[in-house]
Amino acid sequence: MEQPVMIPHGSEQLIADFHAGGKTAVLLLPGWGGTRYGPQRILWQAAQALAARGFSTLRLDFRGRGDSTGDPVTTLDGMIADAVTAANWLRAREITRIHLVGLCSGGNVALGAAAQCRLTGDVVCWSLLPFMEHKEQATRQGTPRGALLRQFWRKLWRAETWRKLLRGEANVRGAVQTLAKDKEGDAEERRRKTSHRDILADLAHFRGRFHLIYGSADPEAAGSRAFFEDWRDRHHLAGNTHVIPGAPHNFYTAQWTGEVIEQTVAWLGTE
Amino acid sequence: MSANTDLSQLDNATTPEHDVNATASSLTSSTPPHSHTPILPHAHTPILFSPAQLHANYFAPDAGCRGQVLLVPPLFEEKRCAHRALVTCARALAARGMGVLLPDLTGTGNSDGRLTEITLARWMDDLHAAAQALEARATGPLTVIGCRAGALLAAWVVTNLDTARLLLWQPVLNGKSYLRQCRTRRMIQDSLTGDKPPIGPYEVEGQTLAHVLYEELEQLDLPEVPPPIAVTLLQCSFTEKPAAEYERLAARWPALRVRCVIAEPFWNPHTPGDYQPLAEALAEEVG
Repeated sequence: MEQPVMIPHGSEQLIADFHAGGKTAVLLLPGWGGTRYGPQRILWQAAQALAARGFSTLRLDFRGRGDSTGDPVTTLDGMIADAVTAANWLRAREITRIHLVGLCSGGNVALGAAAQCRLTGDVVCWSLLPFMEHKEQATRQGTPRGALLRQFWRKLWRAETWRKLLRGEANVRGAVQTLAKDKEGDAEERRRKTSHRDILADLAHFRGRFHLIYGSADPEAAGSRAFFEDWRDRHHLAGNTHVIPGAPHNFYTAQWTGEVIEQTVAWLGTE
Repeated sequence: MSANTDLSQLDNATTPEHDVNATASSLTSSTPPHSHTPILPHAHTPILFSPAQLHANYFAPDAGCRGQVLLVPPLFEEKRCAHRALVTCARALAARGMGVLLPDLTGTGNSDGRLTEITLARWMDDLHAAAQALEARATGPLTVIGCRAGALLAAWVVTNLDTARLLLWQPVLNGKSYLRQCRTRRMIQDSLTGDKPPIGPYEVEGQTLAHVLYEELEQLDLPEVPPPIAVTLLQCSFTEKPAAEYERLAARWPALRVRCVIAEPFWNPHTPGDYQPLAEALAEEVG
């Protein structure tokens, strides 16, 4: 059973839920604006599944998020510092091995934390986005916007699409926003999402496995996947990529959520 | 960690409070009820309440306690999106001398349980247990605040609580139309961007409900609740004119007072924002 804990970090109190299982722990990290239970409680469900396999688990609210104290105007580096603090808190509990699981930008935090605290475990990233400084390169590798345009173009020729358009059921505004808007926000938010460190360079020592899960309908998945698989290969890291057909960025159905968790537990359960 | 684990093992962290009403088997903690390390002003204490050891946050009043507030959160993804706004508002209330409890009902948030295993009666029991847990920590008149779909639950639970004032915060008025909206929201979004997603018959925003719970939620209809004696509706939108559905509710509930606040829909943001003006408005209504 999980217990809520408060982890002091500077002047802030990070709130988390801890399950004390075996000597290997999994630290679960939410996305940029998220809470420690995650969309459709995916992080809570993952913690339950991992605990059933004997892992200790810690689900963390970053500063300024969820129940933790702090300014909501936080940064990627601040979140990485929070994750490192949480990992050290686990080590103080005789945890000898720590795996990191991150959703969306929680994956970027996981990589940043792995670079800083010399983890002995693996990293699993769900819908990992490229770091800001690599976005352009990843976009070139994956051409996600082009793929989206082609997808919309195919939809335009379906009778069902036109029926929905005429009935006012199609979210045209959302589709246009998907194409036009950068989900990373304005310049200030992009700055806050940029680390002052070269995280991938700092990860040179990392020897754990690096697993990736994406949804095929995530517009940024193609570029991000190509970028990180290439990086994984060049650094001779072990790891797998699992793509869930039809799933979008946050895997929002019960079936997709279950598949993400099942795959993650399967990977971390095999040494 | 089992319920019998000695929480003193968690020496570097502040341990949570345990509910004084919890079962004996869960009270083996070395941390006595009501004792917790002082933390930042307006910060709060995670607690476990009810025999099921559900999660909640308790926001202690800054000074002498002037009243109790039970804050019933939204449901499903709106709960997650509104989480920071609720925490900010609860802190504002605590700063005005209120003891505030923000519970996670069974199968929601950080609490144990799955929505496939419960009925509406369980959530009502949870809310009564939450009210008891609040009463053990705070004094003064009780106000129940129901936010979004939480208002559907709050309006019913308040009929069984003595002298409770009710505040409906951008309430959902009808369970059936709300569930339909939740289910179709994603499918409509996908109509242009992808294929039809695999959604089960009782699935709501990625979580599968027991069919009994789903049907019970469909039956909830705020205008059918016996009119409360003292009730305020706080509308948060881009207009100062009350929504037509809220005006219709006011016509049925003579005691209903509607206040409109200009605010972004806090139950649907991607990234938490500045909720202080909203918190002040809510605190004015309660305080």
